[in-house]
Amino acid sequence: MIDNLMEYDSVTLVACNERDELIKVLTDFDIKVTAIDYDKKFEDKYVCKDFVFDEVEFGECVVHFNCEKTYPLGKIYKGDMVLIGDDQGHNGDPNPITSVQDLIEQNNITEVFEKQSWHENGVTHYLVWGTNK
Amino acid sequence: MNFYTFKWGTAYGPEYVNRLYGSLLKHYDKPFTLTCYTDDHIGIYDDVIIKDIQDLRPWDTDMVFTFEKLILIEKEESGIWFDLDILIHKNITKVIEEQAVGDFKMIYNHWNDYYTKSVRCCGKCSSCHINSSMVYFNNPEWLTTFTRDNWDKISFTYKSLDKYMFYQHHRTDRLKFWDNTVAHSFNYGDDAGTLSNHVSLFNTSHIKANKLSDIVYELHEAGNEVTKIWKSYD
Repeated sequence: MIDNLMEYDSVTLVACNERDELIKVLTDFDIKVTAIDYDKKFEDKYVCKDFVFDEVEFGECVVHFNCEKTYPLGKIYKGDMVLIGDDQGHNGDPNPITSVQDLIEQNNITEVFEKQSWHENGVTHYLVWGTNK
Repeated sequence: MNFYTFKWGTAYGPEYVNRLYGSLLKHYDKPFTLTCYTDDHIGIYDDVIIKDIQDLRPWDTDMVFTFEKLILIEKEESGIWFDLDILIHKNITKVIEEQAVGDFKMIYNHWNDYYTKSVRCCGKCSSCHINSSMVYFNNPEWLTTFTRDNWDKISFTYKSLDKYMFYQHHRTDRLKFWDNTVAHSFNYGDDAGTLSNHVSLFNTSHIKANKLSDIVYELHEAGNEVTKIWKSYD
């Protein structure tokens, strides 16, 4: 994924939890990185907002790490995005992702640059890099 | 004061409404009305005002989210709603006189332990530390406006009213709460299994919804003292 992000000047990470390593790598390549997460434990280092409900600024590309937990990014943002979600069905998840097609359709992706899925600890993860511009 | 409650489906019989009314007669010393929004008024006392639950359902949906409460505050403007699975066992006149102020007041789950309240990752959207079993409302315009403006996102994201209120309005410090002496949980906390404060909550719906294995009691199965008081309101 890091290679994909190298072509942008600014990247926004949403619902990202701990991503210190990724942020460091991107920043080292002079990419402006903004991380947004409403969990107060990140308030010292991230923008502590809910990107779905609050007013936030997005970069050239938005990386959503937990699509299963939120309203689809593509319904509130137009542009390039990397969408990652899983089918775990945690009891807080309103939107379990069961295929790359789910991600494409929910976010109105019109052009797919890359897609993949992988299996880990009984959970299938899905990734789509694309745009809805 | 205008009190409200809701009854639909078959989980709770008319005795829940009648005993809520009886408990208000005993524990609220001022004039009041109790209105029940329901899909079945059979067996409910004539003194309870009956209204059609469909009046609170502008959307055709079978979602768990109790959005009816949000429509109530637009329709009725002012009052207090109670869930049916509560037991009022001590006089609430003074509590209401002193604390039913402002435009919206909920219960804070003060019985939840420090770990679940403060340490567990809230980003998982599974924690919830507020409760809507007893809510005072007085035309909270900020809430009705936010809800209307964001309904599509809200209904997609949250499976309960409490979670919506917690994740969107507690997070942004918009909520006010009854103080911790007003209500308690009969099923959780240090005073579980007792009748303390003024109002006991018996919420169990989250157990099924979240596939939890906690042993909890509904109002009608809580046992001797509770049953005796509850039935005394007939």
